Amino acid sequence: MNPKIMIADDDPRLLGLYEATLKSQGYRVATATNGEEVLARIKDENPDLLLMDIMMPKLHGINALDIIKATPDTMETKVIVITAISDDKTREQALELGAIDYIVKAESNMADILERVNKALR
Amino acid sequence: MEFKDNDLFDLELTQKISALTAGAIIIITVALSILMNLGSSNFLRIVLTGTFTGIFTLIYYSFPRLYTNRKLLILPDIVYTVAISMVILSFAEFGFFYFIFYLMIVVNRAFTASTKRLFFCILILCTAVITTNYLQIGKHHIMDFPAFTIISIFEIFWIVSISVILRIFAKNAMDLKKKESVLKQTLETIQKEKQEILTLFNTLTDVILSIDKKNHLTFANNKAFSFLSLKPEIIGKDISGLKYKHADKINSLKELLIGKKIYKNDIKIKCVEGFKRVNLTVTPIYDNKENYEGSIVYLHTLTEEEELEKTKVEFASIASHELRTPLAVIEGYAHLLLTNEKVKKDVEISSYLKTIHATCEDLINLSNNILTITKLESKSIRPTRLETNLSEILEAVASTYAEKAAEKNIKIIVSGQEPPPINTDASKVKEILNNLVDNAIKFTSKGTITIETTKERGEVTISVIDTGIGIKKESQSKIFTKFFRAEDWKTRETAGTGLGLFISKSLANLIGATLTLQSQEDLGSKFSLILPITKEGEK
Repeated sequence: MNPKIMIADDDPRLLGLYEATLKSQGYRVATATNGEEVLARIKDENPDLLLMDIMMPKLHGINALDIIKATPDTMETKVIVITAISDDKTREQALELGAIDYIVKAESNMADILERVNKALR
Repeated sequence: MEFKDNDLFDLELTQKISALTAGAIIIITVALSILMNLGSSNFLRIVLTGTFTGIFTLIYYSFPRLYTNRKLLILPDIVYTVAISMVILSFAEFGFFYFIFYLMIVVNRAFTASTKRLFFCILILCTAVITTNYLQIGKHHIMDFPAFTIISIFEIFWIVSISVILRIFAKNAMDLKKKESVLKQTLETIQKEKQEILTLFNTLTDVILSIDKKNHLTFANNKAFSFLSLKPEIIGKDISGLKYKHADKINSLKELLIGKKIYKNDIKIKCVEGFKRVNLTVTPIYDNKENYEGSIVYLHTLTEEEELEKTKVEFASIASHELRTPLAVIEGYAHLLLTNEKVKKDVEISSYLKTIHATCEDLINLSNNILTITKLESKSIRPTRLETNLSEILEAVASTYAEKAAEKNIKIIVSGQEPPPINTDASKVKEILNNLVDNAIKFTSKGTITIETTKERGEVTISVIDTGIGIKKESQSKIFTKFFRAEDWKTRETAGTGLGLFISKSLANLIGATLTLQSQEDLGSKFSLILPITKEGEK
């Protein structure tokens, strides 16, 4: 079975783009549009990788990350944070909470993102 | 301490008072001598004495040049003492009562004369006492030698003790007066300075509030009243409830008045019209025993230029942000299409998509650059300082551009010494190096691009060396300026807005590094980023 990737972003344009791109690479994809939704569905979906935005309504990505890594059922899930926030402090925070990578949207094109996703799932 | 005649008391005034007193005494004496029906010789003596003393008094006290002449000051003492002595002798047994005039002289001098003069005055009076008493021995029934001795001792005792006591009293009074005048002057000076300071505070276009340790407002300048719409009654009341907004959270001033250290931030303070943008500084004050005494709250209200600057950054931020997502979407789908098997087979369509993709990336870069420049120029970026692994950055940069370089058959080599970990801003270093490598690829058609690290005392240098077209000597000095592009850029395929090197140079300055260029036309260029190595904790 191909790896399943869950994507969380509140912008539907980006969500559509990521979904199409990842599917074209052969991955299975599940989507969410806010932090609460991520938490609600992550157990059922059980993705191999979670690609999550930070600035989302209802529940901040960092808070969601914190909860995911603190819950025994989900703490093993690989998480890559993909965000517009280029602040070093936020990067440190995310990595300390357990994210395996931190992608700044403005600094990465689609090819970069794919490379890092592939690297994470190798 | 030397008592000078005009230290406390006005010499002229006291001399005038002395004159009046002398005159009055003379008149009384003459009048009494008439009333008492003295013998003709005594009466004559008194009249002559009185006349002489009167004339002396008139002359001496009429001319300030005479009576303020220090050398002549002892003269009235002598004259009056002799005059009174004559009166005492003339009044025989009633003469003793005129001793009171001796005391009057001494009382006057104790308050107005210098120590030397007072001493001589006492001396003159004591001499007069002894002389007059001696002259009366045998003249009337109470005056024989033992009586003379007792009376003389008695009179001398009173002259000396009264003068000493009054002198001490006068000295103390003078000390007090001096202290009082010093205090008065100090108070006046303080009040004047306080007034100047208050005036200064009230001309400021910024807000100053002084708050005591009980959070009561003790002072607010004029701007405070107008900007925060305060009522005059608020002085003395608790002001810790004043609200302000920071990062969309509303807090009250109370949290900042705990006085641990200076608090500085850009906030929005609550006014009647809503929340207004200010630079807030809260400075705690301690007494000399390190106890918290209160705080000074300083609100720098933004001038129009500053507001404009902030708006500019906000706008650039929002615009850039809003542009990014659509651009990312276009780039992403272009990429998706480019990797599609069906599309890959069609060369024409592939090439069109490549152009779309490349152009899109240029737009993304431009949008990022505009935001960076806006932030740099408004000094909104604060570089971080963390321990950085430069090798990781070099590897990342090399791999980022590996594909792009390979398309032009250029190799990227990472060489040189192993850089030590240094304290700097990793993302800025990366951005600079990315830009340098990007430029190197743009302006090189064949050969290699070397990312070389060298270490020298106190600094690490990362150089990006290419084998490209190089930069003309005339252009080298302008290469780091805004919008500069090498000549005839229009004819080359090299796109670019001329912002990259300007941004790199500005970022280098921001993190305390130096960016230099060595280049020769047609041979290549070497851009060097020199990073200082600072120890942990050093600035």
